[in-house]
Order: sequence, then structure tokens, then C-alpha cells
Amino acid sequence: MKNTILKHSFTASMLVLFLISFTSFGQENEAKNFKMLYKFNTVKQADNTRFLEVSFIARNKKNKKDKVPVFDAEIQFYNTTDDEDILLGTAKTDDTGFASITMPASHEYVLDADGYINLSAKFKGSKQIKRKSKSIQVKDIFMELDLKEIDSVRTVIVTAFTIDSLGVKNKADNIDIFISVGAMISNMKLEEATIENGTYAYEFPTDIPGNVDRNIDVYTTIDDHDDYGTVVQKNNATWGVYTVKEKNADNTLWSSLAPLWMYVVLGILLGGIWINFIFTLLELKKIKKEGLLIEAENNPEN
Amino acid sequence: MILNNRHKELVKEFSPMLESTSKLAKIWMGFLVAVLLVGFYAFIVQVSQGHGVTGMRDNVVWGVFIINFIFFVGISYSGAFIGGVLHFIDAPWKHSVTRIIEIITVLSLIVGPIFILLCIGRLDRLHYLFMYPRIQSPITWDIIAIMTDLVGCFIYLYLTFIPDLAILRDSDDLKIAPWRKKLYTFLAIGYQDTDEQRARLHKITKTMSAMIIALAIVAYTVLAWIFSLTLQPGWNSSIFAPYFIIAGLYSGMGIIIICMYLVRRIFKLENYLKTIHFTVAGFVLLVLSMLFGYFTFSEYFARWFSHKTHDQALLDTLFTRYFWEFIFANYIGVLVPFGILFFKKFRNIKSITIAAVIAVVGLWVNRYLMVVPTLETPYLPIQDTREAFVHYSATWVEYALSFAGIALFCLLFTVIVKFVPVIPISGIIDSEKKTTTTTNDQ
Repeated sequence: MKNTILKHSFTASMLVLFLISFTSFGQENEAKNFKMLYKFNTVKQADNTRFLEVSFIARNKKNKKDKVPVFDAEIQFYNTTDDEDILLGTAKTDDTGFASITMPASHEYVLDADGYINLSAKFKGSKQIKRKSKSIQVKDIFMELDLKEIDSVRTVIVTAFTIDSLGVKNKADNIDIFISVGAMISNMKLEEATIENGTYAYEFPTDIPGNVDRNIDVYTTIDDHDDYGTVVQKNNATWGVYTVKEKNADNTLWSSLAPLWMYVVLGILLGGIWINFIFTLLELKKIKKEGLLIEAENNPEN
Repeated sequence: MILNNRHKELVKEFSPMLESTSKLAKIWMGFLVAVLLVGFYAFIVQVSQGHGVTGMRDNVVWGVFIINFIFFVGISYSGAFIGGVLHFIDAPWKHSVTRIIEIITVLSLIVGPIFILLCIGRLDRLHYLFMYPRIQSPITWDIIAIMTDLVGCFIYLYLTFIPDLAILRDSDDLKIAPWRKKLYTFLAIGYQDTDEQRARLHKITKTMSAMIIALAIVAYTVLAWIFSLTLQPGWNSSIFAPYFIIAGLYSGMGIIIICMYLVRRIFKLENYLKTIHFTVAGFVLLVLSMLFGYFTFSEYFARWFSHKTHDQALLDTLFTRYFWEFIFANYIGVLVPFGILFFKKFRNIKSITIAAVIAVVGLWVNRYLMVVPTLETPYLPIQDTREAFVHYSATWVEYALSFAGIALFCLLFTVIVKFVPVIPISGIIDSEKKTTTTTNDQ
């Protein structure tokens, strides 16, 4: 925790600079040097909840690589109508400059005459940063993702529909989607397709890796559609492949017998050394023998 | 063997230290025996009461015993290495130091492994090491290496003794007990210094010199592997084997210088152990101090830079609990000898010896820091919170046995130099012959 605070000390100090009403000359000057990048996005998630997110980043006007997240800025999210703005919730930007709320699936939005949900995210502003506001218009759409084995063929069936004001389901048509599977860092795209007449079927490959239980997450996504925005649906099946890498303990250090090369190397080393020792002792024996002969010559009586 | 006048002169010169034992020498030997007896008592206490009387516990299972073992064995290997190299150097001054080095080599290889025996909890199961050896285990490699090296060093030492033993056998003027004369006769194996015998002895001594150099490197590498092949923080290092060899050479060179100084002072051998011997040894120590400093820095720097959790914990321990020991071992123990030896004006016998003493003590502390702090920072947290279980501290038993080991080394050294001349007579004569031949040739 302490490290995180230290790590973001610069960010935190920028915050203080931007958001709290200090009026020092230097601070004003610094704020002016930054352009505020304010983005608003919404995603309809797999559980039909709606995720609303703002990213609030200050970018240096001279050095565009110098980006500082705006921290602790209060963002208010609204469902805007012709008459009023209905507050959906508020959130403060975190140390990465993001603020988000998630609206429950059951929430009933007020639609405009064309059936659009009008959403907006507002920042009231401070003495250093001007007020910011962004709006998004999306229509509600429902997606379902079924994973079925049809005649032993693993099939991904995507259906999409809208519900009109009378509660009648209408098949969605001509909507681009892509199908992907969950992976370690980001999803891996498998197929790009278009939903025709409310449905699309896709034969799932048989060689996609899953986890140890062969579980695999399959996603279908409508990506930034003009009317529906971004919508994600997800399902799970044991369609993944899990190849168990057999790591049989070939480490013979733990076996009753050492690896053969060890015996060979040790044998050569010890053999070489002990042969030399024996050779030395044999040479000493010869020296002794020569000595005895000399002694015998010198003392023939003995 | 027909002794010429020069032989007789030299025997006469060295005879006082061979024939009689001075009062001071007797007191010295008595003191060493007393230390040994205290050590023996400590050993009895340890055997009867178990290793609980030492500072070793569940985590710190290795203490000063293993440190002494590494230290002594390192000295031995460095002696073997330096002695072997000297054999190939054709310098007249080498004869004055070769025997000291050879004796140090063998004695430290005798004393060192005794500490392993003291470290083993169940000596009654010692024979299991030989009955059920695991060739995969570095411990087995070490046992094989030490035993082979010990045999090799004994043979080498014996080979270098033979000409002098023959001279002493044939010295009628030497006033020694008959049993000693018989022993010289037995050990001299009929050596008469004929051309044939001389050539034969020279050949095998040369081969053995090369052999013990290789053995020293292999054996000390294996000892380093006992540590570096385990995944303990502070041990698991790819440079441990060369680091060990350099550390061994550093401490070994220090011990050689100290022994040279003591032998020179005690036996008044200023004519044989001259300033040049200390200067050359000091220069070697200087180079080794630089190498040792370089390896030490590389070792700790890599650990610090990698920032692995357990390495970091070990370094924290070294820089807190063992701060002064760390400073002494790795800064004072390297930089002070380096400083003394680097400047020419400091290169005199006394200051070189002081540098050697600092290097040797520093190296011992370095070995301590290599063994104990690592065991005090295991991967799994230490469960028992009693101070004795968390932190190691040596007990009187360990100190008594450590000093007994040093006493044994000193006692055996004293006995050997009473048995054979500490400066090889045959070497001096060979050197003089060569000088005469060279002069005549010119």
C-alpha cells in the first residue's frame, strides 16, 4: 500500500494541482499546459448489466507523450431525457484516470422517441479544469450465446433481438459480431460474422486450448455498433483441449542408481588418479630395489 | 649415500632443531596438548549429551565446525596448488618455502575433515557413508575427493621427504635416538641419490605435482558444489566453484606467509627465508586479494540486483545483524591487505605478515557469513521462536573443539619440523649445484 502511494505520488500531486483550489502561479501555468482528454464509453455485459466508464487523462500540449491521469475527479452519470437528467450514479476517477459504474440488468432507462437510451457523463469542473461532458446514444439489444453439440459438432449459436415498447421480441438483422475465446492476456478472435435474421451458428474448432478442466470461455461481441454500442455475451463449455505434458521424473539424481555418465566420468577420474598413485608406488619400489642392490654391493658380507 | 662436506654442514646447521627440544618448545607443546585435552573433554561432552550442547539447531544445522572444515581444506588445496606450481618453477628461492607449504597442505587436510566428523550427529553410522554411498550426492563426491587428495598429498609429501630422510639416515654425526635412525632408514627406502634413483624420483615427483594441482582444483570445486548445487539463497551460484578456489588460495597464501614468519623467527632462518620470499608471497597475496574482492563483489552484486525475495532477505540480514562482520570480512579483509601490499614502501616482512593475518581472519569470517546467515534465512519460516533456534551462536564446546583443531595443526607442524628439516637440505644442495653449473657455463 505504501509503495502504491509512493508510486503514484506524482499523480497525486498533479491531482492536488488540478482539483484543489490552490492559486499559485506555477500551478496555474502547469494546468494550462495540459489538454484534458475526456472519453465516455458504455458496454452491455454478459449478465445484461451496463458498464459506464469515463477515462480522464491530462496530456501535455508540448510533449504529447506526457500523460497524467486525473485522479479523484467526481464524474456524474446520467440518463438524459428531453425533460430532465436522471442521475444514475457518481464515481471518482482512480489513479489511472478511470471512473465507472455498473447499472443492474433490471434498471429501466428512459428512452427517447426513437427508442435510444441517452447517457451522459459529466464532470462539474474545478478552478483549474473546465467542466466536461460526453454523451452516448445506444439502443438496447439482447444477445444470447448457446453452446450446443449438434450431431457431435460443437456449435456456437448466437441470437440477437430487441424488445419493443410492447414487449415483443424482434429479431436483429445485419449486425456484425465476432466470436472469441478467453485467453491469458486478451481474448483470441476466432470468427467475424454477421447476424442475419436474428441468429448465427458457428462450428467451434476442436483444437482450442482450455484450462486444466478443459473449460473454455466463449464470447460473442458486437463491437461499437452505431445503434447498439458495444455488447458482450459469454458462455462456458468444456470444449477446450488440455494436453497434459507428462513430466515423468527422468531426474536420475533421485533414483536408486546414478546416471551412467556419472559412473563413467567418476570412473575415468578416479581410475586416472589411482593408476598414477600405483605407478608412483611401483617406482618407489624400484628405487628401494636399486637401493638394496647398492647396499648389497657396498656391504657384501651382509 | 655418500655425504659430501656440504651435506654435513647443512645437517650440522639444522641439527639443533632435530636433536633437542628447547624448554620453550616443550612449554609450547605442553600448551598445545592442554588445548587438545580441553577439546577432547568437549568432544566427550558432545558425544555423551548430543549436539544440543552446540549452537546448531533445526535450521542452522551447520556452524563453526563446517566453517573450520572449509577453511582448513581450503588452506590444504591452496597449499597443494601453490606447492605443485612451485615444483615447476625453476627458482632457487623456492626450496626455502616448499617444505613449509607441503607440511601445511597435508596437516590442514588431516585437521579439516576432523571437523566434519565433529559435525556429524551419529558417528556410529559413519560407515553408512561408505556402505551406502549415493554417487549422485555431492557429499559422496566430496568424501571421495578428500580421501583421494589426502592420499595424493601424503605421497607427494613423502616423495619430497625421501632425499632428506636418506641424508639424515646417513648422517653419523646426528645425535638422535636409535629408533629415529631406524625410522629414517625405513622411510628412506634405500635411496642413495644415484643418477638412476634421482631421475626416477624426479619423474614421479613431477607427475605427482601436476596431479595434486588438478586434484586440488577438482576437490575444492566439489566442496563448493556442496553449497552451490543446493537452492539456498546465498549458495546457489554458478561462480561458487572458482570463488571457492580463489578464497582458498587467498587464505592459504596468508597461512603460508604466517608460517614462514613464525618459522623464520623461531628457528632463526633469516638466511633461508629472506625478504624476497615474503615479497613474492606478498605479491601473490595482492593479486589474490584483488581476485577475491572481484568475486565477492560479483557474488553479492548479482544477488542484490536480481532482487529475489529470499536473496533480499539474506542481504538484509547481512547488512543488519551481521553488519560489522560483513564489513570486516569483505571490506577490511580485502582492502586492508590490498592497501598494505599495493604500496612498495609497506612491502616488508612484518607488514606483509600483518596483511596475511588480516586476510586469514577476514576469510574465516567470510566463510562464517557464507554458512550461518544463509541457514538463518530459510525458504520456510523458522517455526520455533526460541532465540537459539532462530539465531546461531557457537557454544564453548564448539570453540574448544575449534581451538583443539588449531592446536592439533600447530602440534603436528612442530613435531614434523623436529623430525625433518623445515628447509629441505637436498633442495638447497640442488639449488647450489645448479647455480655452480650455471656460473661455470658462463
